[in-house]
Amino acid sequence: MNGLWVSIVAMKMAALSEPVPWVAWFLWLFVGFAGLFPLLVAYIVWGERKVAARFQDRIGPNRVGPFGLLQSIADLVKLLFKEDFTPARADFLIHALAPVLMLISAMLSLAVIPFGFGSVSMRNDPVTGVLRPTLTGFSAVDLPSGVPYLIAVSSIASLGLFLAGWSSRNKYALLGSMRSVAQMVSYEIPQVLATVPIVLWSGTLSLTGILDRQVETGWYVLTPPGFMAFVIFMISSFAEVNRAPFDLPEAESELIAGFHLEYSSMRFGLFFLAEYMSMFAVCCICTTLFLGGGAIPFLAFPRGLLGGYVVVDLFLNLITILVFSLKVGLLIFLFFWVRATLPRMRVDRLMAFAWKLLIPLCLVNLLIAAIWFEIVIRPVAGRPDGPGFLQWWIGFGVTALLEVLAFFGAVWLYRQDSEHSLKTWRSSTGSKPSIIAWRSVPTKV
Amino acid sequence: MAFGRGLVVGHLVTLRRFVRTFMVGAGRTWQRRGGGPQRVDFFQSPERGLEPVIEQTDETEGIFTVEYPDERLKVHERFRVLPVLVYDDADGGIRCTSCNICAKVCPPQCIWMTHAQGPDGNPVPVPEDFFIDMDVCMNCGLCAEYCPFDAIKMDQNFELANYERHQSHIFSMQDLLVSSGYYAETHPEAWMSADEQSERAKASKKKNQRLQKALSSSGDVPRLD
Repeated sequence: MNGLWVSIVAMKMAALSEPVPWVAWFLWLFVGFAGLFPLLVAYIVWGERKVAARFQDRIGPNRVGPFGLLQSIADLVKLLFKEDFTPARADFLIHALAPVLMLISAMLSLAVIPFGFGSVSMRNDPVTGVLRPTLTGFSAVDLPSGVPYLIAVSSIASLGLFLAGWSSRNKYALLGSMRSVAQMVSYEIPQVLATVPIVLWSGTLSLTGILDRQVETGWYVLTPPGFMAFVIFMISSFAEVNRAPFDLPEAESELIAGFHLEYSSMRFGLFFLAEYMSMFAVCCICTTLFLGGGAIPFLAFPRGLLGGYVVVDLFLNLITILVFSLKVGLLIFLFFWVRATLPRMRVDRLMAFAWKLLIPLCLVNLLIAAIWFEIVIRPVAGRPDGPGFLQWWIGFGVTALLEVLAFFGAVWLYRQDSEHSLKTWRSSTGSKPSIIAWRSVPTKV
Repeated sequence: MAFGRGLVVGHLVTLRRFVRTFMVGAGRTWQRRGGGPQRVDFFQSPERGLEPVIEQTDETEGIFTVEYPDERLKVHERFRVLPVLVYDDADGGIRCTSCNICAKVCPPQCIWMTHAQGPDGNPVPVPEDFFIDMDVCMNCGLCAEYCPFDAIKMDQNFELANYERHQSHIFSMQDLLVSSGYYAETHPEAWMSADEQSERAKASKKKNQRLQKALSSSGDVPRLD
């Protein structure tokens, strides 16, 4: 918490006295990205072990420190002291680079997240072009093109993953990494498509701008197309960060380790850290895009008070950061919950699920989002009081109906398709589906 | 065709399980199942031998973990690990007559013993020393089944780990001897059974006779009374 305060102070200092922005940079880099976030991630690991234990009627780590709080530290020390092994014929440089790339990808996506509200400055409204007070956001960098930046840096992870498998010079690691790259590339598409409605509604690519719009008009998850986009985004995020039920790349009960098979010691630890940090980053992105960042439910409360005194701003930022972390915590709990519930997906179904269900649903959802934009957002653009009560409910009713139809339609078509392919396959083999029947296909053809 | 209903229900089932661990049983408080203000303390654990004993039954709800070194499960009477040699509290005499039946019946052959000798070199029905290789022993209990003098019995001590195995894992008579009082405590039902009571009476009588005979036949007589 101390680090947080220091960073806030640094931010204010940087905002007030432009000549010393390096103070803020320094603090973000060393207190935030090198200190606070890895520590946070270590405790997410601890939290996952505790929560997973409770789901299975166990206690979880409780031996190292009170409530096992030092368990992550102990694990870290253990990893540091293990042998750092590189296979003899591995490509040493790339082998060393791969885990770092994955970690960098997760850290870079954290750089644009507005954790708090920041302060207020006069900016052009993205929809109407009128100058009005806008949140500046408490983020390391406020990029005007934050969303494409996020898409770009999160793709680095699949590169690191593939390099890890490739450079190990081990066929199992290579196979594992190819599987996971296929998975990550497939699920990137619905993940990105799910953010398009948000960009459409807020008229800006900046995450701070999106946050500002949500404080103005309500969270995007509370609208039917926004909710659908939220669900699709979460599902594809599970696949993106290789979490259950999409944890095929490192399916611990089936494969040895997948892409990080040849990694040990702290390099394996970096993969571990990267996995959890990307999970944290994805939860932060989701909170910013759909759950209104640090906004308190149904209130624009701290917004009007910002921009006056520095002390008030600091205090309000603290509140918004706390609300933000609460929302992120709930999303992370969702990750744990799903992991405790669902079994792992089969690899062919994994692909079919992304390409045949999520992507069509995303495209239809985009159309419905446009309808929402036309009914609710565009007619009132520039008006200070936002959409009227009646208008909002008309929009809600129409889009909710369309969403329900789209959902059932998409799932129905998906099922029809899989049943159809099963039938044609059965008739072509002329026997019950079994491995032996499948093997006999080539001899017939 | 279900549209994800099973998915939602499944998640509710696991969530219910998660919440229940905070509502019922040991997960409700900050206390351990065996009691005591644990889990928040630093480096405190109950004294060895005084650990609370807790039971796991089909009625245990919520968290059912037994935090082993600080808590333990109940050891039941028929639970057996290594054999021990019993001596009688009454006269301090060891029951074993060194008849070697246990060593013969032992499937992995981990028992051996040396006969005690009288002053003139004749064998006396007492073991001079008695060895069990605890690494080899498979805890089958056949020695205790076959012993005609109820001298060798199965113990319940399962904490046998050691830092060294070549010397300390071959138990000699000093390591193996326990009092009949100890045996009565760990095996109350067997101790009080009519069968064992009569056996005890018979065995002590028989043994006394044999001892007297052996000693009187070997000339000079240090009478044992």
